[in-house]
Amino acid sequence: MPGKINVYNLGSKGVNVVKSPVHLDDGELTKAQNVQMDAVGSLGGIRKRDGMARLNSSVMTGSGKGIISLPLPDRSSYVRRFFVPYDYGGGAIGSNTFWESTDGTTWTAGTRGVVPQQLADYGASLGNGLGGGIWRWCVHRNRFYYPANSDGALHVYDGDEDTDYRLFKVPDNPRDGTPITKILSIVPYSSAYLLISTRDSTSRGRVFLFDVANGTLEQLGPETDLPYLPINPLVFQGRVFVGMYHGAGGSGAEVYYCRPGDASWTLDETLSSARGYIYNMVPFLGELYAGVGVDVGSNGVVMKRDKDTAWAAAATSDGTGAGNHYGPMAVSQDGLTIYGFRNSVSGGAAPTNRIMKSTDGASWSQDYDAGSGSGTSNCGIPWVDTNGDMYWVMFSASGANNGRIVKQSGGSYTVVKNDSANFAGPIVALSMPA
Amino acid sequence: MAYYIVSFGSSLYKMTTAGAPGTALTLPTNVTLNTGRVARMAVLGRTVVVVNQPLRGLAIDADGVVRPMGLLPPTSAPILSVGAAGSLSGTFRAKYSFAIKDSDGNIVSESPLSPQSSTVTLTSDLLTAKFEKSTESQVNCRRLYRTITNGSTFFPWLDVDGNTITQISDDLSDTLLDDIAAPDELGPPPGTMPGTYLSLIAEWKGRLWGVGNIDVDTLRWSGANLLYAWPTDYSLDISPIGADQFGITGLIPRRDELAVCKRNIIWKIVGEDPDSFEPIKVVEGKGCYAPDSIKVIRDIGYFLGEDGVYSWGPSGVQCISDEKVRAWFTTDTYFNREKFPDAFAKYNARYHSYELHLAAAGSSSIDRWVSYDIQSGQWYGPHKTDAFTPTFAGEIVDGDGLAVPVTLGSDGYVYLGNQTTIADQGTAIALEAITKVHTGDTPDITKHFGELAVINKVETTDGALTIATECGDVSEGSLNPRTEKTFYAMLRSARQRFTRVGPGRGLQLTFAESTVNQGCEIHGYEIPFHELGRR
Repeated sequence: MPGKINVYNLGSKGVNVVKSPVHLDDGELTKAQNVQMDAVGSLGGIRKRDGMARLNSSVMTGSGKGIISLPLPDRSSYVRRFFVPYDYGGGAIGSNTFWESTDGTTWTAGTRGVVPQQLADYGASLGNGLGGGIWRWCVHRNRFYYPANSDGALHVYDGDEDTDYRLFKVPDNPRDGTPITKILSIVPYSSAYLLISTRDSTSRGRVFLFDVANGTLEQLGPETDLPYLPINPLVFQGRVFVGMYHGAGGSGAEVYYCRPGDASWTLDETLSSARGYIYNMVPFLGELYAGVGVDVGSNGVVMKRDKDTAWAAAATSDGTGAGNHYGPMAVSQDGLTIYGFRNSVSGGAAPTNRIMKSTDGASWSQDYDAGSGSGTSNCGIPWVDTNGDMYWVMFSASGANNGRIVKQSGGSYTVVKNDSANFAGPIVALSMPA
Repeated sequence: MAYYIVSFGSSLYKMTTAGAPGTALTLPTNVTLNTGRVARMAVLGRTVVVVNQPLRGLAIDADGVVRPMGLLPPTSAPILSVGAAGSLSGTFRAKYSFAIKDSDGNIVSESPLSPQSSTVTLTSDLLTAKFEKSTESQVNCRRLYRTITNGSTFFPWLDVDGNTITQISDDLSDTLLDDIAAPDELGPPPGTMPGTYLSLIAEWKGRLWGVGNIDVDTLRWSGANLLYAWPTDYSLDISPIGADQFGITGLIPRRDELAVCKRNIIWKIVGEDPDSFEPIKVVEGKGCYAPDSIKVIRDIGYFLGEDGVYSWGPSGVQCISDEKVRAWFTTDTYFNREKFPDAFAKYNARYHSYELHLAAAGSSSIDRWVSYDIQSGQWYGPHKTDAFTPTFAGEIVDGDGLAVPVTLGSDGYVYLGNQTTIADQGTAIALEAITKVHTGDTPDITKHFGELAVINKVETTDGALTIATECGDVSEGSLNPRTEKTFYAMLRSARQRFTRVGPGRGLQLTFAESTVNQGCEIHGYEIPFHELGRR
């Protein structure tokens, strides 16, 4: 008797090793090694399974022991981009905004963002006086916050989006009749807040707590009319400390502290006369250090606040001329070395400009000879990179020309930019798409 | 674009969707990976938690910074004393914790609080506190708490950044203390103490759930969205206690329930918060043998038990392998059952299949896998690759945002599945499909099987598809004695007709193809036969 076997549901009933092969249905198999049922376009037949390909091009050591996928933004391909404000030295404003570098060595004038606050625009009390360019701007959650030159408004450059946004202009100080408020420093306070200090006039300033998510701006210690310029605030022992930068010589600068919610600032110290210009402060080995500039007849000085809240000089420079200063200060990434930029004017030993360092805060030695020219007589707040490298931007007090960018890596200094470039102010680094 | 955290050998890597592993992530001081254990991972708040393989739990943030998952508390209370003139008056007490802040100032880990200090009485003074440094290299903050004046509840007082100074003086007023009292959800995760580790981890309801290697019958969980905070009272003992050395063997997080598996019992946790979490027995007599066999797919959990693969969903626990492939899991013919605890699984989203990796019979390596087509409920396999030895598997999201299965090898590579190239990194894929024994429903009658016709997909190259036919008497469910005849098909033709197969009471076909980069898709076959009669 004739018959015919027609199997067109091959494999559709999978493998069956429970029944004997004689009792299986036509669509069943006893073995289906590397067989795949493709429900997209070929259901009803069996096919060889899809292949596998190496994902990583370079081999890793050992056996794979676990993997997890994160559908979150991956910044692995980002490049770190340094920014140094482009300064026109008081001349006509052009299109360049920042000097940029992706390797810290090669710098080009770029046009990202808007022209930042110019050194000359801060006025005589800061820009053309002592220690111009010591304000600090910051990168917070991969967004670069800086003030614009056009109207002094706060801008944020989003590293992820490679886009600049104008945020707001800090309102003028109602205590002052002359509306000249400009942002001085922008400093991280916490994951949600920034500290913003302002210059409201030649002798008046404020410090705000800025909520980066909600945009609120809260003045700290609003009942205190801070004298002169509160520059480079910092958080130390849970409090916001700020040192004053006086617009005129003679009197000693003050150090204040307060906490969010405090009605007033508390005076922590008044430095002795002539020590009128606090550049910045850094915590080092649990104590607070301040770099200070002086008036004629005195030495630049590093002041230290110990645990008992007493302030004392930790180091002095050797010049006695106007503009003598010791600062800004910085601490190495490992926290074991403190650095200070030193500028000696009139009577000091050569070189006039140098970077000093100390591992104990008491004994200081020269670490870099920055020469004696005016082009390196001032220094912006240094940048301590994630890999431990440090960058120093040096320039003249009056504007910009003939400055240099110095990179310190592994204890060695290299001038990575040294020509008539126009730069001033702080250096920051932002992670951005390549 | 997504990225992956992957463990190879004694290192963790952050890998891009393009496969660039970069350099090994830097582990915290004194933390190494145990190459004899797999890395189990979970995600909470954009942070990957890695346990079981490291000597202590690790947390990896989006920048690839690796930190300890938890911190041990200060061992001694702060010492309070009367400071210089200030503005505080009354009695005060204090505690403090060790903490780690990230570069943006976020607290990413905080230890439990220290013991409480003695009471100090101030009269218009600063409150001075002395406290310890942490021995943890990554601690960069000590967070101080104090009571309000004459009070007993502790509130955040101030953060002492760094790990250097051991004394501060302050007179922050009560009104400026944080309104929210000191956290009560702090506690070190299991495995924070040296010599212990977390063996299981899962994320469920915004908390991490885990089991330590010491108290294997105790389920622990973290504070809400706090990967570092595991209060000691956030725990449940899962019965039976001390019944075996394995304790809890798997966690299956579904939408509203968390299954807690032992080898022979399954409980589920229900509830919304620590006050309402409670265990309910799901099934007794069945459980999970392989923690890494667990996959939750469309709110149904799949796992390997002692005698097969089970699903746990709205219909309860059901064995999905008994009906057709029970012998895979209950005999020694197919797999080395001793290696069941080392089995691991992955989900193939394109084919909606659960793929379970096992060791072949006689093998100590996890060198085979079987696949369960969830839509049709059918099993396929055992599969193998000759390109490498799989050591772990999972799923990733590729550069297009699509889920793709991956298999990790002992050779240092991550292998991406679902590739259109029909080869495993240049190595042929050996297809072998064996049909039923065809008898024409008359297994006792000898037949003459005629010309075999095979219908297949037209390929661009012929390949080397062989069709081995076996004819013979049907004996004990197979063909014996048998005669074999092999045909060679050319896959560039859609239909091929071969010569007559031959006589026999039954006929079984084996399709095999193992050419590199050769597709092979068989749609069906036809064989006419004539009954020759019964002897």
